[in-house]
Amino acid sequence: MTALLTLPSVLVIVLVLAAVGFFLGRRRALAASGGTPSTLHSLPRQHGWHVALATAVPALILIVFWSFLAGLVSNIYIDAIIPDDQPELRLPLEQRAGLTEREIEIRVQGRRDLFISNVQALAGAIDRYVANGNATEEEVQRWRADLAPLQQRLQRDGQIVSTAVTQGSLNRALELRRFNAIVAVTGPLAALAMAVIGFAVSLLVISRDFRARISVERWTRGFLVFASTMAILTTIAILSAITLPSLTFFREYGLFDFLTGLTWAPAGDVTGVPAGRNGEYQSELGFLPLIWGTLYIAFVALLVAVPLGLLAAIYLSEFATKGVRAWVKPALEILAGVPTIVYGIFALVTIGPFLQAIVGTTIMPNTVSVMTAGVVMGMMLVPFVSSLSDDVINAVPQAMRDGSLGLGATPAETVTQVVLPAALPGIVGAIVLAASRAIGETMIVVLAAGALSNVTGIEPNPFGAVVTVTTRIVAVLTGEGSGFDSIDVLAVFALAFTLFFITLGLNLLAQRMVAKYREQYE
Amino acid sequence: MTDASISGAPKPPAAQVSLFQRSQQVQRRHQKGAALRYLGMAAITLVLVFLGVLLWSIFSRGLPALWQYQAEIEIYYDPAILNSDGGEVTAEEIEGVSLRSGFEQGIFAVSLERTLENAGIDIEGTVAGAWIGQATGILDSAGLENGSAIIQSADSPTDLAQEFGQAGNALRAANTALDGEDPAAAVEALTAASEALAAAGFEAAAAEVASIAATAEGEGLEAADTALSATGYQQGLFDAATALRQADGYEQGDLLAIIYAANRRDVRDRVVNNLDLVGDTSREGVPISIALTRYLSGELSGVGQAQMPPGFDIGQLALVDAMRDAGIIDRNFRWSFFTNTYSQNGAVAGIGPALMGSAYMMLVVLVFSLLFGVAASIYLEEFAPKNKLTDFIEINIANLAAVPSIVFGILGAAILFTLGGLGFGNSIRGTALLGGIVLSLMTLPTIVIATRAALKAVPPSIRDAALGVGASKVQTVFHHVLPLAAPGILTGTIIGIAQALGETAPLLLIGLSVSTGAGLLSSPFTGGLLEQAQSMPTVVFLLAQNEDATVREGLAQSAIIVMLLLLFALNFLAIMLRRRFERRW
Repeated sequence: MTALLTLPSVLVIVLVLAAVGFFLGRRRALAASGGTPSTLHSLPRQHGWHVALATAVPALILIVFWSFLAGLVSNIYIDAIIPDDQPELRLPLEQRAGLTEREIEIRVQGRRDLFISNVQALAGAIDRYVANGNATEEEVQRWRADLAPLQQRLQRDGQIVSTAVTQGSLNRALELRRFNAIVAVTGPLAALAMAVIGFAVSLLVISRDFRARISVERWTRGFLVFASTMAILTTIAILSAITLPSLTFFREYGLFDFLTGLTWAPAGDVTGVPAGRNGEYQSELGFLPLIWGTLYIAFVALLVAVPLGLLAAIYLSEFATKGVRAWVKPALEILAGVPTIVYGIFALVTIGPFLQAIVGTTIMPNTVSVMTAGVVMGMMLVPFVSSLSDDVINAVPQAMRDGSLGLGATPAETVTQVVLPAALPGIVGAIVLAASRAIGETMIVVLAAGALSNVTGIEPNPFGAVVTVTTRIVAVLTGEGSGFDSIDVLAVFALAFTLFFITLGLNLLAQRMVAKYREQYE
Repeated sequence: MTDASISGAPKPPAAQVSLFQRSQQVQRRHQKGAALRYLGMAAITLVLVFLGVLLWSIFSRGLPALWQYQAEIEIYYDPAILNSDGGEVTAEEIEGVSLRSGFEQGIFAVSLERTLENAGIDIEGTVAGAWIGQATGILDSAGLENGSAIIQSADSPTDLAQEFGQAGNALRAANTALDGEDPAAAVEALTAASEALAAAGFEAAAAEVASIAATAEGEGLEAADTALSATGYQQGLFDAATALRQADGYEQGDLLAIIYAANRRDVRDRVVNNLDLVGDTSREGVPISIALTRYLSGELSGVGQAQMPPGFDIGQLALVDAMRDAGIIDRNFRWSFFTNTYSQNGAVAGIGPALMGSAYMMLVVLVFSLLFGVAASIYLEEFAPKNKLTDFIEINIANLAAVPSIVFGILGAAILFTLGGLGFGNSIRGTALLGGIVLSLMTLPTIVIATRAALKAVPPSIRDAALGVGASKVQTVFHHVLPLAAPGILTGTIIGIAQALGETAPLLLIGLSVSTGAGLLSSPFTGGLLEQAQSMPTVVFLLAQNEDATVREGLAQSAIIVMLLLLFALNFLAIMLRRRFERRW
């Protein structure tokens, strides 16, 4: 029986029940009509759908929530049942020597976290040990830590128990297992109960006048509304994902130190500065070198993209023949559709060595540099700038062009003295959007600007490697580290925080500009 | 027609300008305008040239890398190696054999030697021949005549090397003596050197050195020193001696280095699963060491230090040449690239799991974004009342479309850390499901924008007609508007998926690049979505970070080609759909 009460099997049961409900509901509705279906308020099919939805939807929602909540509840439980005087948590006296209150607290907390994860691992190992058929539940309940080396027995079965099993951890693990067993059964049971209730009630309410269509349509609309709030949910998720760790970081490191620091040297990197207590590596996390590198590359990219993109847009919208447009526009679209990592590798293996060959190795010691990344990123942004500007230029009313030409201006004069000034706000908006993309661009910079270099400060040479906001995020989070455990990881969230708000500000500004511009001509 | 008529004629009116003829000023203005035109053309040309160089750089490097030099060797499962005690070979014993010493040094090296011998290649003779040829060349270029005859008549290259070494040492002693002050000692040393050369068989050189001895007596030590240095005998002898010593120095490892034997684990597993193979042979293609690729393709000539593939010497190159001539080494299309798992080593690296992982993620994106993206657009376009909430949703969608992709990666990482804290541990890191969800959230705005455009394009008369005959609002949308907008929605979805396919940064942050050991996934219905996965862009990233330049510039580009072809195929599909089903109202 308990084998049936797992989430996947309950999921299948619920779906089968819903399918059965569909056919039963339809049959019942037809029966209720007494042979003349036209007397029903809703179609039999809609009655069927109503039963199916009433059966499945609440149960499915519960299952989804439960699969997340079960872990959470279990975590809260294990934290609650471990008392502060658990013997395993005590910090030995010799380790306390010379530490401040706060440091002792941190270490005790660390021991607690370790103990909890040990207990959880042990509970999991016992679960699998039992599942493999090596012991019955009753035997397990009688286990003691000293009972025939428990650890070896578990390990012989292929279970990984890394630390020594103590009596305390075994007891807690058994308690945790009892609790987990209850949690594991309650959720599916509740889901099953909900499905059955929904099934029964919705079947019972079927009658000639029951407005099944209205009800089904309400379910549908509910789903549509939920789907449309996904955008808001995503924004909220992003905001909370970056804000909470950032606040912790600002509190621990200091907002002022972060914003004005001239060195970026996380302890996790080789570049760390051994300045901490007992010669430990301590992180120096100054924001200025990163924003310098980011803006430097974005500046070079815009220097390339804006003139080329604008000239291309002007040519395409004002001078080009249809044939030229038909060929050039898809080509630009290809350029826009190429993934950024392809540009990054192109910069790394082709543009970098090419630039180095031109300027020489004394100025450009590495193939990765601001110029390498900037030039390629600029080329990537050309189609972006040109298509946005193209739209903007096309939105300038034809009457203005006709008027200008009618007064005797040449086509070029019309463009430079009438069309461009009229389109200027829109074009500036496009450039701001391009800047926002340049600042947030990651892969080109990671590959071509020196993500793996040891740069820690501000590098003025355009042919030198720099660190940027995005490369540091990738460098820290790509490794094996998991969890908000070190200041370096927290710092990365603070970087994402600043990046998000800088790009958000630029986007809002650009949208406002373009919207204003459009209003002007509508 | 006389001269008088010219001088006497009245001047023509100054400003008789035709409307069809441009005045100078107008002409100048138009010329100025042409500059703008040419600048525009130049900008477009520059961008197109860049596109061309980009594609050329990818295809010219990536396509050749899809072909690989392979050695067709007969792998002999030698019972003597698989069970050193000589008894019957059991599966347990095979598993106990060391991969490195047993399979690599034993099975592969022995099989390779057998293959060469069966093909009629004299391994030691080939190596010796190469080095002797090298020595002869050195002697010739140093002006030591008669070198090849001396080498051929010698009994053993090692003895000869010793003789050459002695002669060289005598010359060096002479050189030192010439730098000194004592003419008698110098002459003595030169005579000794001349005798040593004569003993080694170089009569002409001996005579030359003897004449230098005469110079030393007659014109002074300095002139003799210059004359001796000019001969270059000393260096030539030492170099020839070094080459000759190598001639006898063949080892099994030299041969083994030519092929890449890292699939020894596969071979072991194969024997364990099929014990009948023991004592048997099977032919198979083994990749050649990647450093040799440039030699085999003719890019490196193999002459001189700079042209030598790193880690190889001319003896090994001679073996490679012999193998190529015997048809053992061949250039084949690299099918294994599409099925193998990722590896640090370029000879066996592949993109199999990455292709699967990307496909799975696209599946998740398709389901998720079609479900939620289309539902959200329907609500916003067809049902939503114009109020603050709707405006807020619209602003959110517009902003999400412009949020840098790495921020979505940060969101993924935060989900990962949070779920890890909730007791999911590390089990969800790098899974196709998490990757797919993050990519879906990222593509959602694109798909919403495309879907809304498609819904907007359906004329209101359709809705009015449906409502007019008594359909409910939901029925109108689902039965009439949605089917008509479907091609547009599909096109938008495909373009959104194509975008997601190439996205790298978010996937790096949720651990798809550290799962380098990721294998092929199981079916999505049996939990393949929850296994450690790889994806095309992250594998491209890994290949681009490889320490081997051949991999960075070759295989990474091959993987890019595969990815770009997939992208173009998706976009082409979208264009075709649009052409086929597009309706103008």
